[in-house]
Amino acid sequence: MKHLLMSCATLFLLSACFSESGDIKQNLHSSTSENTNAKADSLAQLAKAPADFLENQSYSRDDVLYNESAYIPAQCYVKTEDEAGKTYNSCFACHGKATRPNHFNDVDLQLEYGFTAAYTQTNRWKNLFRDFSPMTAKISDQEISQYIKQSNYFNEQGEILVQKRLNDLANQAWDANKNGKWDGFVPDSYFNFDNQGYDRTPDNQYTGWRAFAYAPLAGSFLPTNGQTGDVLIRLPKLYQQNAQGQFDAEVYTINLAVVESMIKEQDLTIAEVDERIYQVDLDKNGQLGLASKIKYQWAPKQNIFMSYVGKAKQAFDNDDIKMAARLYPLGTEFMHTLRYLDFDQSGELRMGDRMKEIRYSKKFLWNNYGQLQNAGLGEIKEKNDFPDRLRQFRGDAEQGLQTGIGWKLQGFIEDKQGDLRPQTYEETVFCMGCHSGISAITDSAFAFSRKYNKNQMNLGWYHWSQKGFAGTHERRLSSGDPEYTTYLKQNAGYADEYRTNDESKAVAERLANEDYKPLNTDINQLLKPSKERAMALNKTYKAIVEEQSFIWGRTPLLKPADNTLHKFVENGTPTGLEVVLR
Amino acid sequence: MKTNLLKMSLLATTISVALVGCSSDDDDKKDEQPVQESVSLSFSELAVPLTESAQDQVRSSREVVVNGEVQSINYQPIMKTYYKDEITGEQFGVSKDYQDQVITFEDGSAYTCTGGDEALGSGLDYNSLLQRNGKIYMVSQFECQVGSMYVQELAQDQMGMLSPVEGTLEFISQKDEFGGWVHCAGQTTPWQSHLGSEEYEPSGHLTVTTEDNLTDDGYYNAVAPYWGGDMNMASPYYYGWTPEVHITDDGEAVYTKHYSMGRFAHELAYVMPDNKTVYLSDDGTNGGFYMFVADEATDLSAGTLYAVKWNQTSGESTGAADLSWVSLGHASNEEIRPFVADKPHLSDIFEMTAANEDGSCPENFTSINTSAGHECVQLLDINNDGEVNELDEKVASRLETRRFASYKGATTEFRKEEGISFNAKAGKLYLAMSEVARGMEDFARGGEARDSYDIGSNNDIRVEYNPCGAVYELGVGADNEIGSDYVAHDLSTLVAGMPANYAEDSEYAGNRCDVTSIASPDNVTYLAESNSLIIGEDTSSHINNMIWNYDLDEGTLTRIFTTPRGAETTSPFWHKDINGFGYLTAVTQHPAGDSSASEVGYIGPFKFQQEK
Repeated sequence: MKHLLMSCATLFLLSACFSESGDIKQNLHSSTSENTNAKADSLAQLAKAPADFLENQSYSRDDVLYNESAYIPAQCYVKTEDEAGKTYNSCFACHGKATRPNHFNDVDLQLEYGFTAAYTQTNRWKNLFRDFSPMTAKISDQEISQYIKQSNYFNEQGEILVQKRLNDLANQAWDANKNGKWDGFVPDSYFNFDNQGYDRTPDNQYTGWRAFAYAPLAGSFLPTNGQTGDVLIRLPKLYQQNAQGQFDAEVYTINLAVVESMIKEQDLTIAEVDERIYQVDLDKNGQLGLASKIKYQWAPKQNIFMSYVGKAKQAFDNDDIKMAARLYPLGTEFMHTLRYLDFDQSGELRMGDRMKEIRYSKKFLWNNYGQLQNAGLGEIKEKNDFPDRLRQFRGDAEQGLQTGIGWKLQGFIEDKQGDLRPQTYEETVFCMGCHSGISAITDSAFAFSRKYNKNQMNLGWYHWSQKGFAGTHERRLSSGDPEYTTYLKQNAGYADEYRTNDESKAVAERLANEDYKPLNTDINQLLKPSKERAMALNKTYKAIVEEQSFIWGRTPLLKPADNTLHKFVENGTPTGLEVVLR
Repeated sequence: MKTNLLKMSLLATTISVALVGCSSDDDDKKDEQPVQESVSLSFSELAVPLTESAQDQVRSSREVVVNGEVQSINYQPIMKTYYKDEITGEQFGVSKDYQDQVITFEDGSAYTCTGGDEALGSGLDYNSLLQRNGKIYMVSQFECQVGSMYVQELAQDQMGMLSPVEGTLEFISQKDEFGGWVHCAGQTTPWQSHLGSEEYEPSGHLTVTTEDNLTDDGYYNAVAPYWGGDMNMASPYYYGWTPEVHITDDGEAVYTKHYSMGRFAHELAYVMPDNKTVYLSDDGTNGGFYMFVADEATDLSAGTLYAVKWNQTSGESTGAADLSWVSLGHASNEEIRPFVADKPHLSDIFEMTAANEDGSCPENFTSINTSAGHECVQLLDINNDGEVNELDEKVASRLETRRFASYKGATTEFRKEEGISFNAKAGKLYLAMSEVARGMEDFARGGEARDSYDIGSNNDIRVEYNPCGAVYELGVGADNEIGSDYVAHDLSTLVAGMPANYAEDSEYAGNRCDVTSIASPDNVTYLAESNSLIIGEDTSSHINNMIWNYDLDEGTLTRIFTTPRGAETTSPFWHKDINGFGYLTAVTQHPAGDSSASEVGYIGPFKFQQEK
């Protein structure tokens, strides 16, 4: 794979990008003679960590990807050992043993820094080393409080603002393929959820989106570290319809449960259904009757299959659609919003009405187990053959970048005024390193395999606006150990990779006195920041928005991570950590 | 559409055409061969793709004049991975196990050698067109750990167009020789056989370590499906050889594995015009470069293997050297196979011990540095006859060829050795080096001091780091002692890439090698009797892979096509005269588009016979 190049899909384009290839005329010899003479060893130069590497960065947004390894997030540069030799393992959240058909085993990345390409040894996430307090001092508490409560998704009439802006192509530069219209995702959830988590239009129709509660990934994603958010899933219409081709909420509910069972490879409790309607033995008890669980049994080589219901059942029986453990149906979509931190009147954490980001992914190609294994092995071979190569992604910022294993990712982020705009190419590349190429994902996604189900309200099908984190139990690792507790223990009590969240350390110390028991049954203990901290985090992020400096890092830190984050780390440097398995 | 554009663009590589005959069995070819004539070629140069649309397309030089005439040629697909022959029931690219049963994964899918999104990962790599029995057979090889091979008869119409003959797609069993492994580039030999290559041999130290009968090497474990999931049945020594496929008089595909030619990371085995001398490239880090001289023409089952010794004459830029050849001894398939079948462990072949603190080796141990790094080795009594003698050397020379070459004092410092091609007119062999780095530097990596690649080695190669790679030119002549008329005796740089550091505001920003020259050369193809060497790239240092025409008379490079970002072609090969038509076969991997499996096709047909 070659290094990345910013495409014309970006927001801020060079005029050259608009010209047709046929128009390009150039005199190669004259235009490159200086470079020929220079013979500079660019790779080696870039690989070195000049003391002024931060100064070398700029805001320029042309057709060159500024950080060519923008897919490697800042977390990968965390110092795993401090000067006293104490170790901190936040790596295990993403890196560990892979479960098939994910073949990106990366236990090694807990043990040593794997920056095989010299270019990637330099940490280019400048914002994490900056002190934003001069900027946040200019933002009053009242200003930020108003700002985060003002929706940038809906207008006062309840219409989805970004839809109009996209359909009108408010900025011509968003039109990466230059066909005069927006071809990417148009956000269409009304965030108006019924008591089953289904999203409804203002006239009470189903949008197909369904909210679910999940355990946020440990580290930066925890609200105490900067933002809250939600995830919605939508299956193609086929899965929403009964055998007659009509939308049927029960059919859709059962099919989503089948998907959840397949993703988790677990039996699943469901609201009681009459199997005779669907002619599917969901609980696999040998007879058609009332069923209150989906029994997971799947072994195609022994002719043991799972089954959808309704129209999807017909399609599966006709071999028109595929089903496999830990893979989503073709056409599955996720919509994931990130929000500012807000509090309700009772002082509980709530999602700000203003969205920081909308992240969207769609599975557009089916890859079977053989292909996925080959993709994983191909990566090993590529790293061996061409260690200096950086990942390259097909696609553009308009229609999404492709993971190489079936998914397209696309995003929206605030512009300087706080309106949502499509992410640039480079800002989208930022998504790719976590949603492909690591062991922690299940078919390119995180949240759904971490969905809560039994013992939770509505079997976990609810939006955080309907029920907050309070009283939500801690997720367990495969070892049986509670996940966040393990994280805190491995990371000296810090809930963030960068160990700048002193508040979480104080919380952890208090929890440790009770052997973390309160956390086991109430993740809110850790996830919820104080109002003061939340305010400061919101302001810091707002400062980044005002700068539009997302390509330097979009994680708000209240103090620079100078002591905890490498600016340069050599490939193969041992981390000093013991492996923790998820 | 993009796929077609890609294929279309391949015609650019075909453009420099030579009027030549094939040296092949008279039985299979027409008696009258055209007289070899020099060909003059001209190409129009392509600009560097700058816009997104240009970078996502294949663009090819469109104006091509061959001996003053413009020919109408096109890209023609033959078969895609997944092609199903409804009559034979075979599916192109499906791998089978040690009992020739289709391998399936847990999800029920057949093990098909193609990647994620039908692009990410390995796939089809090379195909040959063989003329036998008055027919045309295509033999294809796949680059997966369970590497399959297929044979397919092709029909040729009056216009020279090739198409698969239904009912003739057959799987080529490799089970008699432990299966196939990571088939890379190949050659259609002058005697109309398919000569392949098994790349990246697994390390001989690997053994089953886990309860689920796997080793701790995921790359090697991928061959487990071939052995029903049980790696106890596998051996690293089964893989890393040179396979050959013949078509018999009865039309049967007969598969052979040439243990005679050594085991290493075979990129390509390239037969010289004497049908005896074969050059073998070794991909990876700290590899060797090898020459095999068969006892009998067209029979590669027995012969003498040599490894090159680089005697540097210049360290300037990518360097120059006189070449000598270190004999690794004579061996035959028959002699070596029993030792392969015995599933030895590396520790049965060499005893190893730690180096002294100063990097030297303890007494009785020989210092070597190969792809495995610096080692102190002592040859063992492999055949258990009570003494360490030439019989043990024979076995080690083939099973652990790279280590043995270093042990014998040959040079194992090459980095990413790739394509080979021969120019009979000038007596020059061309060898592509994807990058000039690591062992080829003088105790350095990437220009910075590092001893790991040279410690304990001869440090024969001490040239300047060039991440953009080079194509070397090797003078070839007769060597009576070796008994071949095609022995390479010196090496110099033909053309090297130029590292570049374009300013951020440059239109070429993002290219790390100068856009006016090559980057990471991969396949090279000399067009016989012409002045044209085609150089293909497999690079990350140009935003788009490019294909160049190097004018051997003028010493100039002309950019003749560019591929979409992420797309590449593998193993282009000239078939110059098939019943009067010429073809350039090639595989396209990673073509653009949402769904496009690797595909075998050809550029052509060319009419070599000039209309009089």
